[in-house]
Amino acid sequence: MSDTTTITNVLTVMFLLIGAFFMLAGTIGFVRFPDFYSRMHATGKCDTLGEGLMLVALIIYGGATFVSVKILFLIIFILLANPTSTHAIAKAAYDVGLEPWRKLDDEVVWLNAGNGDTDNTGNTSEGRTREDGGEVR
Amino acid sequence: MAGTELFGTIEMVDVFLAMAITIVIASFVSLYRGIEGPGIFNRIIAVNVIGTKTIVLLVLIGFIYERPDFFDIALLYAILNFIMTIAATRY
Amino acid sequence: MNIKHFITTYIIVLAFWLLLSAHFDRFHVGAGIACSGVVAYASHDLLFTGTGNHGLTKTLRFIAYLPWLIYQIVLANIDVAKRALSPRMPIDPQVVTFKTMLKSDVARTALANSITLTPGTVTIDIVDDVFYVHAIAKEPADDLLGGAMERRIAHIFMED
Repeated sequence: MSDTTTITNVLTVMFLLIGAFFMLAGTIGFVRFPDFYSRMHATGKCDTLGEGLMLVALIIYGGATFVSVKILFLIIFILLANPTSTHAIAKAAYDVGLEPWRKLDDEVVWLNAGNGDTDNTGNTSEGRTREDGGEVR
Repeated sequence: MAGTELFGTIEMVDVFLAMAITIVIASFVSLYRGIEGPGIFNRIIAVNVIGTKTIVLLVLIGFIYERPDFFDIALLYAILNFIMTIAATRY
Repeated sequence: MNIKHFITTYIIVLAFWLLLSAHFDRFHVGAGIACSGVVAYASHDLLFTGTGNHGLTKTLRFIAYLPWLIYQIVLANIDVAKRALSPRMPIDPQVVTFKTMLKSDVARTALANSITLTPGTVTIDIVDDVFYVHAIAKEPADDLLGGAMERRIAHIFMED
């Protein structure tokens, strides 16, 4: 096993781990954030970079082959398509009239909040009570 | 792609397998939001997110089993996923 | 039909085919030549809409813009990861609007996607000249309204 292979492999694993970290952070944000628009932040950014980094790792591992070209196209496509679909979903939701969650606005606060975030205790620290079964959107 | 060994007994295939399992777990966590998450839009995002994760999963599978066909499938899946999201948000 | 556009599209499509197929025997290359002809004929007028002049300068400036964009993407991810993983979740979402000076569709698309990928902001809608942007907290909204990114995009597409 030569030195260059070792370096390549270590780089690959490094990129894979960073990508996986961002992807997991994005997923956790996707589940934890209180409303639809905040979840868009988590998915639109973290998934794009996390998956991009994992694919970059696989390019480093694969070397200069046709397979790498395909993965490069995939990366470019993800970088273009992911923000665009995020934007499309946000526009559709905004057009339908989905209200963004406001921190101080008690009316709207739990209207759009997730029904299932039982682990979301930190968010209720300001003495806010939760109204389950409200408007579900 | 010779020299697939990383450190000692750990091979690169094992690393890829671990990453694939991580992606599957993340997909299931997102699926929770897809099933539970109030309203149609959260479900659309969940489907989009799982689709994007599946692309990486397919590429990883292609490397694990050394079958280059999977990269074409991943490319197609990316395009289909994008078109599906656009269509779902349009109508 | 514009023959120059047709040939350019044909070459691009054929190169794409050869890169993706990676088979160079007679059958695959022949099928590629035939399919590229059909696809180029069907879509030769889609590729060149409204790029205008100074195409090369714009491309070069866009490539020079990419490293900054990638740096911003990394910052954005660290930002979101921090907000998602911290127990108190320091978020205060709000929708801000601003009026853009960009004219062309390409420039607006670039600005919208850049806003989505940079820290704390997601583009929701563009109505006429007004961008609707969802910011996850107050500071990113203020940064955005400073207009630094819009000036960069305007510089790329020569609209400043």
